Amino acid sequence: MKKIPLLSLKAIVLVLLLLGTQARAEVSHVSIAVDGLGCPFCVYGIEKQLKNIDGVKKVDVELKTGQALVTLENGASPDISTFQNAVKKAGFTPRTVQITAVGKVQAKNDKMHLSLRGSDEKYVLFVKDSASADLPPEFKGQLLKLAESQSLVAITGTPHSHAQGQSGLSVERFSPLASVELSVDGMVCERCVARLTQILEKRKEVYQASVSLADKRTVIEAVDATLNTEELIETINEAEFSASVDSDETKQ
Amino acid sequence: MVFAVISANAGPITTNTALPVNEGEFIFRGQIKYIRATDDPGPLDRELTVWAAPSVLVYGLAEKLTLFGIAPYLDKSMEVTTPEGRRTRAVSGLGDIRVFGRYTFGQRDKPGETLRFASFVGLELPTGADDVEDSLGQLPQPLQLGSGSWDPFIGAVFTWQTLQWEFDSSVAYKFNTEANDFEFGDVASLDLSYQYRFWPNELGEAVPGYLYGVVESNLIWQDNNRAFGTPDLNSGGTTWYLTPGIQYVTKRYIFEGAVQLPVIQDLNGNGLKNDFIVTAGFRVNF
Repeated sequence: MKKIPLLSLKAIVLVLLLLGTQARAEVSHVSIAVDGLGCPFCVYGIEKQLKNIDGVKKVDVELKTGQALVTLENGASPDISTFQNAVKKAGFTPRTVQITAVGKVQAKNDKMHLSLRGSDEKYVLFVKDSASADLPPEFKGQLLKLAESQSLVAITGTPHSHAQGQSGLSVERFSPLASVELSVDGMVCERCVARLTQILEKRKEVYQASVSLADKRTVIEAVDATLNTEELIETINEAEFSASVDSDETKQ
Repeated sequence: MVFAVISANAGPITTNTALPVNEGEFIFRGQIKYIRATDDPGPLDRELTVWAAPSVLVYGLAEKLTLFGIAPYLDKSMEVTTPEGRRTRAVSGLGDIRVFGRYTFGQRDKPGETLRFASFVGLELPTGADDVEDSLGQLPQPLQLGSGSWDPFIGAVFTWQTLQWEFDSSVAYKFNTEANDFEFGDVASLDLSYQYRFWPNELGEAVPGYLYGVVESNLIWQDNNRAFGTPDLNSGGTTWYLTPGIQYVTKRYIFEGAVQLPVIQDLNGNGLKNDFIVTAGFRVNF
């Protein structure tokens, strides 16, 4: 048997570690429709069960609609049944589960896929030349254009399994993403980072905010059509930090 | 005292609910009850005052199975007319602890609405002192902190909850057993509760606090007590309370208050009638 040199082994470990730290959110949000939810006191149980799942960053429940929106940590790889079981353990009935995944639309054979960012995972979106009752024709056209431009896109939909063992995603809505990089002064500790991240991610158009204390900057990913750099700077300044545009160009 | 299988998860103030308790979650409920009974038709002219502080701990053991424990601290005093004049007989301490389990048999969930049916079975443990004496001798059994007996009880509860209102209905029966040659009469109860969200009028985003107006009805029947096997004809009877209340519900806490007003008291012999019962409390989940 061939011996692997110690240096090579170290290199492999280093590469694996780097891959681990560089992993981005493949699936960023899981939205669960919860049946049977009637009063605020019951919400606590659902939040507690969902927060116990590995990789869950935040849980927001809206009582009026019965929706539990779970925000996942970067690189989390959710198992949908785990979320359904968590709702059941809280004593309620999970109805539909939707995910929001980020990646690029790509063609493979006759099928269009969403190739998730940071992983090899793929979701079949539709068959190119067949009429799908689930997907409006205008969606098809727009997704094909996104495939051509290779833009980053966030797609929300219901995951399902295909007969061949492939994962599919019934597209509900999608948004091309854009990012902007801003310099931020005034942050002194990790609490400032957490606070600023929370403030930015509260904005509806913001998909993800990565704030770095060391680099004094933030990279904000947002829905392309509604990304407004001036408004983002205003939000940061209102939080008593000082933001300025790092680069005039937003990047896709 | 009123036999009540109170819950701790959201729902009624004086009775139980079939609403779920999250698996692995604890709920603590603290209550203060003030009970006054002065309308004694007999020559003793008894005046009873009870301060009760039941503490309720609830644990969600499984998706459909919930465990409850209720430990009451009691402070009872009764003024009576004796040949030596008015005397007060008083006692305070831990009462009888009640433990029970509730299992949800039926559940139908829709968006913003749930229908649930559960049954419960439990036991009242003789943890309260049942042989307290004062200068007039041993206190009468109903004034003791505990019954001295092991008393099982069973019941069923139905809940229908929407985002706007909640309705609960509960039936319970307690089989009192003998201790110290004395047996309290069995107790049956039928409780109804209706809660209506007054505020907020319209539900906004996230999880707002609810202000509920509450109306409850407690119908209680008790059999005659028995001493040395002989029925005490001055005990037992039927009482119907109407209970207006108010409840503020958030994600972690509930604050509430209610007054049980006796509308009908059809008591046997010269049984002591209740004037009212005031309840105030809070609940917290963790």
